Amino acid sequence: MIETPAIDYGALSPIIALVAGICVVLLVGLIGPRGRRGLSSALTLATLAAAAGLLVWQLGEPDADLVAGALRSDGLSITIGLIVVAAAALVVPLQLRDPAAEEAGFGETHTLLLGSVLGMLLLAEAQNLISFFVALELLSIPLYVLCGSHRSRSRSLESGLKYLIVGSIGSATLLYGSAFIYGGSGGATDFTAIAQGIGADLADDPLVLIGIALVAVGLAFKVSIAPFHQWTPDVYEGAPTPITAFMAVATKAAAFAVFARFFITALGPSADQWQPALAALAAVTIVVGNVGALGQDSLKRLLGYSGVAQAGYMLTGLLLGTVKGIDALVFYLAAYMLINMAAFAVIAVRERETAYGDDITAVQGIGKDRPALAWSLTISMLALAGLPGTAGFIGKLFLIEAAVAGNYTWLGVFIVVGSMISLVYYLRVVAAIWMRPAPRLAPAMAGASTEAAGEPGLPRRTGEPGRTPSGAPSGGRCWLVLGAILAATAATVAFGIVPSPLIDFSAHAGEGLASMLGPG
Amino acid sequence: MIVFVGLGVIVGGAFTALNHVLGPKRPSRVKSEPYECGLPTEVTRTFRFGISFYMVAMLFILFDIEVVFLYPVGVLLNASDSVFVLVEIALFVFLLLVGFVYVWRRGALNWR
Amino acid sequence: MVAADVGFAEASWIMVVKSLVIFAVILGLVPMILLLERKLLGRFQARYGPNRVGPKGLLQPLADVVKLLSKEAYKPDAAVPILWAIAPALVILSATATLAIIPFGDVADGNVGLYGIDVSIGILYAFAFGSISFYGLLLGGWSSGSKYSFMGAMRSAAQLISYEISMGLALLGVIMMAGSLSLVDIANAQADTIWYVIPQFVGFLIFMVAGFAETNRPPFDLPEADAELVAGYNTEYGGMRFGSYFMAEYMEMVVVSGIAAAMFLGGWHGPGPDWLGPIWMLAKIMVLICLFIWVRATLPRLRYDQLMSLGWKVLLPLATLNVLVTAVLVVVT
Repeated sequence: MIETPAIDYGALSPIIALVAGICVVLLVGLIGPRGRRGLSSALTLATLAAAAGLLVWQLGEPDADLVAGALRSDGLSITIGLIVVAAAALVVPLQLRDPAAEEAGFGETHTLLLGSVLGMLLLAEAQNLISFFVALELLSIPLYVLCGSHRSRSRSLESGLKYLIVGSIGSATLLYGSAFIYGGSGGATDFTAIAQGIGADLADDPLVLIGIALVAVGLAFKVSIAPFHQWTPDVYEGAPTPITAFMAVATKAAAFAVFARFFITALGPSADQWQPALAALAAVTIVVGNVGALGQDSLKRLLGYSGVAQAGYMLTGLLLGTVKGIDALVFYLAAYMLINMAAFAVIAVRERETAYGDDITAVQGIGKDRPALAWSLTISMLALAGLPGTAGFIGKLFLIEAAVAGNYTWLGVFIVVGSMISLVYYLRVVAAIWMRPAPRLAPAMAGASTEAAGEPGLPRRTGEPGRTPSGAPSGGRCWLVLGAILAATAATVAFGIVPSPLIDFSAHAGEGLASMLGPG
Repeated sequence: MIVFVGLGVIVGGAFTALNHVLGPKRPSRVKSEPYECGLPTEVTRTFRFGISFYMVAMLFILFDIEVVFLYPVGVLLNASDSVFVLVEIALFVFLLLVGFVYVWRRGALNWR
Repeated sequence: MVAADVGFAEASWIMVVKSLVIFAVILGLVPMILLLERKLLGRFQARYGPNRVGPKGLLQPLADVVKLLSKEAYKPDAAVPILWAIAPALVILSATATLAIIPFGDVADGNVGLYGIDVSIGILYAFAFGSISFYGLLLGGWSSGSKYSFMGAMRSAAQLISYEISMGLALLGVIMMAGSLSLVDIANAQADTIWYVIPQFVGFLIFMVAGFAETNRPPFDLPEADAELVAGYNTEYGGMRFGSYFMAEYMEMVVVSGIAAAMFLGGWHGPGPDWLGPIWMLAKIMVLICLFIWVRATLPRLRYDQLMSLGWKVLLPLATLNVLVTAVLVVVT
């Protein structure tokens, strides 16, 4: 006799919507030789909209354990889910004219994107070691493929392969650590059961501690915390820019969600052991990320290192283990999502318009002829540095406030110092935009970008669909893309001036976590 | 079962070894070259072979797991008699079917 | 010692004796099938078949074995010694081990089960050992160090795995109806109702087609394809090692026929007293083997792309559909 598990279909509905959307998009992609660009994108957006709508609906519903306790839908999972879905929705218009998506086919690209989003949603909801790992793989594997999806560029393939290898090592480490925790906690896979199994007696049991260390290393690979960040710049640089944008934001959001859930709920009893260790990691990450970004000419590498530094800031919010810390973390993630999407979108546009790829030259002097792009990138850079008047500032403020309240004042100081270092490289970009003259070489038409990024050897592909040789509707001047960029930038500024809606939003996350900790 | 495995080992081993005992031994150089018809033989064990073999192997893993997943559910289906189980099977098969249609349309099943 | 849950277990000495008996019977059957095949093929092609050795050629298989045994033990230079020698033994091992689950009757007189073993995982056991025989082929082909062998091995690998899926799905319908994986239970379930070949006719067809492919029998004998691959994975084998592959193929035929007889044709159940059970089972196996031979005489060999598209584009969807329809019917009725 099969026991029918209790399934809360309402709380599961965003997941179901995504799965249905994946099937439809995959099959629609089969129509026509390269898939229908418009139809596929529209369906993807519709799927994401449906998922977002259902998530918002669930925000009002009470927290629920789904599928026999394997998943949990609460404030944390829903806020993170919304951030991820929003990031994916901003990526879809960016991919409209993306050479990688043209090459791989829109059906495939969007299916993989949605698959990764599904994995992220599941990861944010995971409440069990098994669903944790499965979701993590579901998140990662489509991303490995997406990174390598621009098959005619060797950099993209390199990026895909590097990410695959490093990601697999991370996954393996994490799995190994899970096994230790499973054994150390007396055979529990459920997060709350692990917490009970560890209890006060086993909090500094070597088996458990090894497990914690290995899981932390595995997750550190995923969110690129130093010293496990080495892959980040290479992979970010090589991957197609829309994918980099998605990866930088959404992976971090989902991985931090499970990081918080797992460490605070399951490993709560051992908090005294892992807190100082994570604090040290956070400090190292802030320094390494910010110093590493200093000498970068490639904008994507620069943002990659900047992402490492941001991961350090976010880790600060996490390791405090307080409601305030989680609120600050989610706020920062939401703000970071908006800022980063705008920045990467501008890079993607310039990549398609000029022959410089993602080099800083590509944005030199765009203040004059592309003011919208110039302002967006400027605001993004200032927001990443944390200047007042942007959401980035409020986010940092909250993180520092939470750090001080959680007796980690010295980490707050690290955040401030890190931000000051970061001003150097962020302002360098801003200076390039407004103060340098446009490069003498006239911006090439669309189509030149494939051979741009240091690969003159690659023969230029002619007659690619969607790219007219004359470059008439050049990739960047697509209203959808510009709209996405402007929307993200406007939101960055708006939440910087009136942060209360975003504060309310992120407060759900803390509530969710508090409700999990409350009874146990 | 152990008896059968044992018998298999004994018989298999015997068949492999018997020729050493019973057969004549007249080695020669040409005899021990790999078979070839009229051409000089070339010995390469690092062949490159068609990508289709890899495709088939990957698809096999996917669908064989489907079968293995369906077995336990299939055993219980008659006894449980529940529509829930039926719907679960149908959903599972449907999801695989979507992938199957995709693979088919993209031509992975065409032998090249 | 048993490796899995069993339905019924006797004293160990009985187990040994009955296993030896079953094995002896099947081993005796193999030369008979060999002769039967050659005789039948002869008749199908309007000739006599072997008729010189012994009365009406009855001693022909014996002569073959003696010939194979007296050959030189020969190893090509390019072969990887140990692997090359192990491969045929592996094939024999897997074929022999699978024999264990074919039931020739239920528990007789309350103390002896007329089968090697009645494992609760039943049919999965057969699949498990089937996969090992595939290693035997692949290893043999690869370690020979000849391109013909290697190609044959790769082909047989792709072929075996392609058809294994359909085979598994074809049996799933029966398993759903019977609600058990054990071959004994399944055979018994048919005694009360109807032979599953009637409601599961599609499944039976798929199983038999996949069975032809799994045993590398014509029309699916591409791995051996004499004309292009000079016998494929066993190009470099001679003597009794070649004989091992040959014998294993016939034993696998018996196994596939046995599984089909137990799962689709009611196993040992038939009219007449109970002691006729094993006879019925053997008769059903022989009928199915004649089917194998008949098909060999009738159908030409497929081309490799036809083989693959038959497996993936016809049998797999059909088997899946069969499973779904069966599942609905099982729940509804």
